[in-house]
This record gives sequence, structure tokens and C-alpha cells, in this order.
Amino acid sequence: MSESTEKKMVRLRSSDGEVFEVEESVAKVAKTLQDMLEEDCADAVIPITCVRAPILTKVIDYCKDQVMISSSSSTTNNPNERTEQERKAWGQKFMEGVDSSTLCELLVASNFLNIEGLLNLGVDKMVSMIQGKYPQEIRDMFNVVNDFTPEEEEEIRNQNAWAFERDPYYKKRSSSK
Amino acid sequence: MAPRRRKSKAATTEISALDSYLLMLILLRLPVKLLHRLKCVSKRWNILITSAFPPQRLGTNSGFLGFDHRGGFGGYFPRSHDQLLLPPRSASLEHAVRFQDPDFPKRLTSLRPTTRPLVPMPEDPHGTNSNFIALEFDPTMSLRYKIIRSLHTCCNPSERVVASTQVQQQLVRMPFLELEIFSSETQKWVRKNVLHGPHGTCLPGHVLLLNGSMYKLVHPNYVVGFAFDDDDRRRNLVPLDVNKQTSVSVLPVDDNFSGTGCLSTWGGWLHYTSCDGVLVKIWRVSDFGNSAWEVIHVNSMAIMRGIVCRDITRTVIGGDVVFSLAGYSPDFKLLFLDKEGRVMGYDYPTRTMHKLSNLMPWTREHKGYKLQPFWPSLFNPRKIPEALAYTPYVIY
Repeated sequence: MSESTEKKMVRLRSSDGEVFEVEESVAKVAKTLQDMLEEDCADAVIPITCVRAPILTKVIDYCKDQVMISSSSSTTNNPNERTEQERKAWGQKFMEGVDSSTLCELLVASNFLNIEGLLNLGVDKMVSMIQGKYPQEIRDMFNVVNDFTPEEEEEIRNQNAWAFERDPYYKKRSSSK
Repeated sequence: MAPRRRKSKAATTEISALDSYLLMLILLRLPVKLLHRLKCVSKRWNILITSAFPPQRLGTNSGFLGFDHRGGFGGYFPRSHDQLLLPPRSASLEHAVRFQDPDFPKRLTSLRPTTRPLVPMPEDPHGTNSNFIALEFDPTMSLRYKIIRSLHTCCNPSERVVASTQVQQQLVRMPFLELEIFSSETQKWVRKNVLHGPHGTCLPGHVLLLNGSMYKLVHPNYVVGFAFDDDDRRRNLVPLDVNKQTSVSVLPVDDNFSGTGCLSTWGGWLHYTSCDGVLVKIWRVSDFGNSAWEVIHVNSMAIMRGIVCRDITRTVIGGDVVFSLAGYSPDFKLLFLDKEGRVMGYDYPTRTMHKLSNLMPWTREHKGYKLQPFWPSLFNPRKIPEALAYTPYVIY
């Protein structure tokens, strides 16, 4: 406790009015906030207008973890230091159970706050969700409204018919297993 | 008030609320095949995907496996990786680099652009010394790739430049071209004998695959195509039936055709580049059966020697003639003239797409430029609409 009071705290306000108090080092993971803090234009509460409280919680979780890694890796032979694999696994765990709408909000937030690592994690997760899907599945998953007329859709589908074909080689391999 | 409104809006945040930048970040990491499929999702997705990957570019998504003349493996090169696999994940290019490892050729692996995994190829029955020629396919036309290799010894391209006539004489004696074809579908090497032309020159790079058909330069005055797969026959690209071994399409060319260059393909076009890069000829393969073709003379391109592949394709989009240029050099401009030879304007080759409506006005200060014809004639002018009758010129 005594340690945290020594550190400079930054207050962030989410779009729905909730205020979060975080250490400056945590806030600085976000490049947008870092710039603001360095220019000393963030004395009071920093409003983050496009991010809701639950999303901001998640973002702060991520930032805290980043701070933990970077502070621990500065000391040598630290057990907290992660290998590439562990980092991947951690990223997967972090993104586990995130539904598509939260994910979209996370993407918007990390883009706004300019947190590259989180943005990459989000994009990777999104790519894995889209991977191998068909248009209807995408629409269902992300609530995208199909604004094509049936004729238009048919036309585009016919133009790209090859993309809808199953890969014969792929099928053969998976069936032989 | 403001936060409340935000909240209700954010509660329905879905992928459609992402701005185009974020959505593009995601789309750029998806395989090409999936992107084509996802065009159907909604109008916005369709526009995003087609704008990032314009059809001219998508059409040229024919990757090829390159083998150098010593049989070394060059790797997989997507034709337009800059467009299709943008920097964040240019996986194919990475693999290509990795394959240049000298220890690698013991076992060949190919990368499938549609699905991305690396597929190991079967053991080479002839050891490591056989002559691979090419793998070329267009995933928009067929999912299956084929690799062909010549069972004859091919000569070294550098010797070819010096002693091309000698080499030709040597190769004339071969009545058949023995090839082995590896099909990704059957996963087997199949041996084929293909009839040579009367003055056969079988050099690396002369046999190539395009959209499942095989093309081979057999005579200074002919280009002969072959098709060897039922699957591809439905694509109507059957210039020659291998089993009957008869030539169907013969393309006469003029005296400048040296016969020692190489054939290559680009987005449904068949190119011939002479070995010194001086002459480029382009055939439109879709018209191959009708013996319609276009030829580009670049007789005075000595300055640009070393830039072997340059090609201009043109399409009409919304009444605009759009020229797209590949393999350009930074030190020339494209100048567009109308039928009477009047200068319509110029454009910089740093842009790959040239629209006539966007051309820079041509002024007196440009008069010092030396004009070189780049596209002097089209062989079948009746077929070309009025809008296409502009002639691009190159300025040095």
C-alpha cells in the first residue's frame, strides 16, 4: 500500500462516467495517454469518451500486465519473464471468452488509446473467429445486415464461385485421419 | 448527456461499427480465398475488399514456384504480394526467403496460396539433379497446382545468351519433350511426352503453366499451348491436346522475335521477353483460340535493360481507360497520345493505375523529351472500342 501511494496516480473516466485510478506507469502503456501525460495536460480526470467501463477494465488489466512484464524483465533471471510461447498462451487466455461485440469495442479502444499489443491481440482473435467462415456465419456472428438484394448477392457469389469450392486436397487429408 | 448517448450506441457495437481502418487490419490478415468469399457479407465488405484488392490485381494472383537453372529452389513468389499479402503478414515471401537456404532443396515444399499451409512434395525420384521448370497457377481459376519438370538436361541461361544458335541446334534433335507433371490433386508425378515443334528449343522457363494450361515456346515463330488435365478443360483454355499431340494455336510473330527469351504469365496474359529484356510481347490468353493477340514492341528499351518484365494492361472502367503498369522504372513517364498522334497528357509511372481523366496536361516545357513508341499497334483494331484507341508512349 505504501508503495502505491508513492507512485503518481492517473485518473481515467470511461464513457459511462466511471472513474478508474491507475498508476502512471500503467497508463503510459497507452501511447495516447503517454503523450498527454508527457505534455502535462492531464492534471484532472482524463475522459476517455469512446470506451465503456467494462472495456476500460479489460484494457487496464492488459496494461497492468505489460507493466509487470517490463518491470520484471529488467531484473535478470526473473521467473516472471515470458518466452514467446508463454506470451502467446497468455494472449489467448486474455482473449478467451471475449465475445464479438466486446472484441469490437476492445479494438476501438486499443486503437483510440494506441496500444499496439492489444490491438494485435484483438486483430488476431478476430482473424481466428473469421477464419474459414462463410458469409452467412459472419453475418450471424457479427450482426451484419445483408444489404444486398438476392440477385446482387447471387451475382457476386457467381463471380467468386471458386472461393466457395471446397478444397479437395484439404478434404482428403481430413477424412483420412 | 453525452456519455449516456455513447453508452446506448456502444452497447450495440459490432463489427459494422468498426471504422474502415480497423476492418482493413483484420481483412489484410485473411487468406485471399476467404476474402473473395466474404465479398458477399454486405455492401460495405464488398467495397472494402474490392478497393483494397482491385480485380486487376486479384486476377493476377498467380503465384509460381521458381527454380533456378541449376535446379535450386527459388521459393514461392506470389505475383503481387505487395497487393495481396501486405507487410503485416507477407508469409509467402518469408517462406520464399527461407527456401533459399542452401540445405533446403533436399526436400521440396510448396506453399498453397489458397490455404497457406506448406505442403511437402514427394521425394524426388531422380535425386536432386532433375530440372524443375515451373509451377504456375491461378487460384482464382483452379485450386490445384501442378509442377512440371523437364527430364532433359537444360542448358545454362547465361550460356544461352552467348551461344544461342548453338544451343538451338543442339536441341533441335529432340523429337519429344519429356516432362513430368506433379498434380496437387493426385499427389503423384506423371510422365508425359509432348511433341516438340520443328525447331524445338527447350530451355528453362519456356514451359509454363497458366490457368491449368501449359504453354511452351517451340519455334521462333510459334507459341504452342498444351492442356493436360480434364479439370482445366472446362476453363476453355485448350489450345492443344497433349494426347493427340496436335498444335491448335499458332501465333505468328515478326522478325524481331529472337526465340531465346522466356515465356511468363501475368493475370491471364502470356508474355514473351527476350533474353536481354529488349523485346516484350504479350498475348491475351483468353483470346488465344481465336488467334487474337496484342504485341508490344519495346525495341528501343536499351536504357532500361535489366528491367525485364514490363507490361501494360488496359481495361475500361466506367468509360475510363485504365492502364496498369508493372515492373516500371522510375525514370520514365507514360505519355498518352490519341489516334492522330496528339498528346493527351502524361502520367508518372509511380502510379500503377493510369486514368486518362487524371492525366497531367502536356505543356511546352516537356518538348525536350524524346518520344519512344511503346504501344504502336494493335493487331485487330476492329475489336477495340474507340475509347481504347489511345497509344501510350514512353518518355525518357
